[in-house]
Amino acid sequence: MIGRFLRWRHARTAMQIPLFVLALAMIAHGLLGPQLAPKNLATVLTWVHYRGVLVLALLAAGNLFCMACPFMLPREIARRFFRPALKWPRRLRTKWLAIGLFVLILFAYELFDLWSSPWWTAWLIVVYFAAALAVDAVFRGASFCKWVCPIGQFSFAASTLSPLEVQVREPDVCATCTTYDCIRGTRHAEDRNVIVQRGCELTLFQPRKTGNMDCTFCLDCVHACPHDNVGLAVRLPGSELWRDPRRSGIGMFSKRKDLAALALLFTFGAMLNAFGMVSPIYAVETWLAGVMGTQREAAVLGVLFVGLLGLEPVLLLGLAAWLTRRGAGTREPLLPVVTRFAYALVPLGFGIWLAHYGFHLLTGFWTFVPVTQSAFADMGVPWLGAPLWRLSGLAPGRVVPLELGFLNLGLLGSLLVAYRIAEREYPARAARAFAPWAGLCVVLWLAALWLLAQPMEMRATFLGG
Amino acid sequence: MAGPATFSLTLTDATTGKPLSGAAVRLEADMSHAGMEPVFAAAREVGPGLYEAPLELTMAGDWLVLVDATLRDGRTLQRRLELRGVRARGKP
Repeated sequence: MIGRFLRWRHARTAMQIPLFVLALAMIAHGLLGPQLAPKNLATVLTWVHYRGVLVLALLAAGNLFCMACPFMLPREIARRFFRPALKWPRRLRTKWLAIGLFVLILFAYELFDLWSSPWWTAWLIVVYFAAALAVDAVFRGASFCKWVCPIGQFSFAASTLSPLEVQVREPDVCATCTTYDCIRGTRHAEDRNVIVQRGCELTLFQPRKTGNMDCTFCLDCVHACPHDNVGLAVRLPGSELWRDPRRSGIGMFSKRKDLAALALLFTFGAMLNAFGMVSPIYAVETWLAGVMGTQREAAVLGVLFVGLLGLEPVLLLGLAAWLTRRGAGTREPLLPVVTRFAYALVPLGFGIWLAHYGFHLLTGFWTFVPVTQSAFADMGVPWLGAPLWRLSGLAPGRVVPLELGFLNLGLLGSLLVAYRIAEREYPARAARAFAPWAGLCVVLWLAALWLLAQPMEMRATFLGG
Repeated sequence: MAGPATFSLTLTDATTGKPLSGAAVRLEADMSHAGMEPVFAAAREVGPGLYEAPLELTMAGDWLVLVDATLRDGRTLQRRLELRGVRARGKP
């Protein structure tokens, strides 16, 4: 499926440049333009378009944003002049740091109302560029992508449900390979110390790579393979979630507590992020503030986050694992059971993200037109005409069937994955092992449906502020 | 409350305190969230210096109302007013 364009060695750079220019425009408009979110490119393109296009691209194709990631462009340029010497610290070779940053971004989004602040949104983009550059200036490989980037982790989790995957075409060809260029890089014919085409920077060795986890679709392996034996292939979305081979650069899903935690954050974070935009959140916050005797939003939000991202998953998954253990008649500890089944929730989580971000994208799709016209007019070049502020998108009511479709698809996917995991782990008592997880999926799906039915309310204030 | 609303404002001369009649007043209401279509309305004078405009607040949340007025003597004024915590209909 690799087309002529993607086979071109500079295809990724060609995709990164327009996004880089767009990011610079967003930063400039966010810092210098009107500080009104619906009229600023930083907020409109980040919170309406980028998020929506990201999840739809992951659903329809694969990890296309990482493929064209603009944050990597300054790093690529910088690496032409110096090479980082250090390896990413062994102790940090887990997803825990990135999970913490993911939570931090979700928290900051609510606390600082990032969706309503062009200025803060612009700074978020600046910080992202700086962090990517700083990490990869010090550490070798794609350390930022693999161990730090919260957007990357989000995309890795979602891309387990993508239909495309970078794969080996003929395993037999790899069996006879002696150079392993896909991971080591292509060496110069005369000077073997010079790498003319790097291999996978995320330590995914193609012959033993399974699925999309940790794959940025950078296509370095495709360009490096001297046998033209790596390409983009169509596969069954989600199938990697119920298989548990030892994966190159990752290990076994069932042994990776950090990856299981990422799957849970991906799912419960979707619920929390959607909960933050409907009316009942304000009643809950007000009630919590009363109970805690505080007016500090950070404290109230902190408790809410601990409850919804910590206690809730622990209780629900602990109960499901306990019931599975009883149903399967085993005495194993609960944590390994949770670790194995956590991946079953990813499809439902993805369904919630799709419903949420798809809503914003489709109801505000055309808003970039008047905002761009306005930005040009503000610069004294009204070439694009008077801003057409009436342009928006679909009426919210017309998006509801699509949102329901995403949620239902997510539920079906989660049920399927949970059953296949139960079959794999408890072949003799698969149905009994599956039942608690099916119940959990249905409970979360009902909660998501309830969220969808709530009136939207976008407030930067609470507690009557 | 989200939905149809009437926005009232009074224009007075800051030095004399007298109402300012005969001004052309236009309103634009924007949500604090990106991706929402702004709402526009022209106000009409219903009393000396008192103007009213119908505004369809399409969603609950925080709104910003931009007032753009041209006075009878040609002077203009712009004001940005915050309309925080507009609640969903049927919600306390």
